[in-house]
Amino acid sequence: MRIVDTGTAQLSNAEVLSRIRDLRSRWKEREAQARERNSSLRSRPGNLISVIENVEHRLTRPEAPTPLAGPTAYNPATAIPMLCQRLKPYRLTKPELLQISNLRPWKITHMTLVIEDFEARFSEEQQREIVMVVYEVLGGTEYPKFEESEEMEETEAEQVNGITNGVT
Amino acid sequence: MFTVAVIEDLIEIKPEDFDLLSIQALEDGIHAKYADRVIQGVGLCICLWDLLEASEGRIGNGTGIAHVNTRFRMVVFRPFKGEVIQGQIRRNVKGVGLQLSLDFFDDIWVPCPIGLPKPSSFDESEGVWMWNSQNGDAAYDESEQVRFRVEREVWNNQTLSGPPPRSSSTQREERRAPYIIIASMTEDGLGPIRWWDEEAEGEEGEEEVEGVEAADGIEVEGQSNGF
Repeated sequence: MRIVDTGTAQLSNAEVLSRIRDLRSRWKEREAQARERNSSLRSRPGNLISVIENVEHRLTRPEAPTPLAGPTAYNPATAIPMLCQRLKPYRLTKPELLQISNLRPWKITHMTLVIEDFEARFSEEQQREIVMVVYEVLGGTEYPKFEESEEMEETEAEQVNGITNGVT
Repeated sequence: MFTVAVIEDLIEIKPEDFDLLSIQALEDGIHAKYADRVIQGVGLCICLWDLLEASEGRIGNGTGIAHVNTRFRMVVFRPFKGEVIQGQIRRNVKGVGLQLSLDFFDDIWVPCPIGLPKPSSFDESEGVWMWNSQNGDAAYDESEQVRFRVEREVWNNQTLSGPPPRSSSTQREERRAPYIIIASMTEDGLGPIRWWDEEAEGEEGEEEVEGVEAADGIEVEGQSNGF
């Protein structure tokens, strides 16, 4: 065994999930084929199946707020490129964008965790814009709410909706 | 959370697998050897990402096993320093801290009380860590979903360098996990997700948020430089 590269390229949770789903469905197919031919499937790698099942479980658990499963899940194929494009003017770094796509932060508090020096780098208005872009592109269970509530009235209705279908 | 690592290795294909497509047989061989295994300095291997190169197979003498030189990319779990991840509390350990779980990986530790917001303490009667905030105590209950920040990683090489010393039968050292992640939950928004996300329904949460800020200011600087 020789490690050529210890891993400089990051993968998003969405990419890993789609790879795992692909692998699992291929294993199911092979098992079905083996059953047809009445031959048992040799070398079914138990280690592989258990680890990918657990990863999938983690990324789609209903009790943890996940953006990859449930009614408000986003479609990574269209949403992630769109997210990068819409957030381009704010010059976020790759790890910051990666965490936004993995966690889908919907509050300033959450954004502060994943974006370095969030409060120093961006004006209050920009901070709200970023939160809104994330909500518009990746969706979410809750309409973003900001501390001083000078929000428009139309958002109120949305908030109620957000909360009712957000209790997952 | 995940990265791709490029690895070169000699993969064996057993004669009974010769009826499979070569690429399928190689994938199976790689998975059998790597899935769910920690490689020191690389991380926990999950599954194959793609196969980059494979040589012709060479049949070994006597066994008929084909040996193929391959170069492939592996999906590896290895969060970067400073990354924020969601997991759940696995158990509370007095004097040590909280063990967290990601379902596929359980060796994540939050040393307490330094990894929790100040002031925090261990509650003997309940057997859980508590955040003694201004608004009352909040417990870090088991199986609670939490957000945490990755602080550093610890590698324990388990390959033996020689026969174990004779006396080891009496005082055997506990086997240490090959890859341990040290995490923290001091900042606003970290810790049980419920605490931070449910405030939208009422105003109670607002005050809590202010309470932490003072204690938090000191920690933040050191923690966010992982990006």
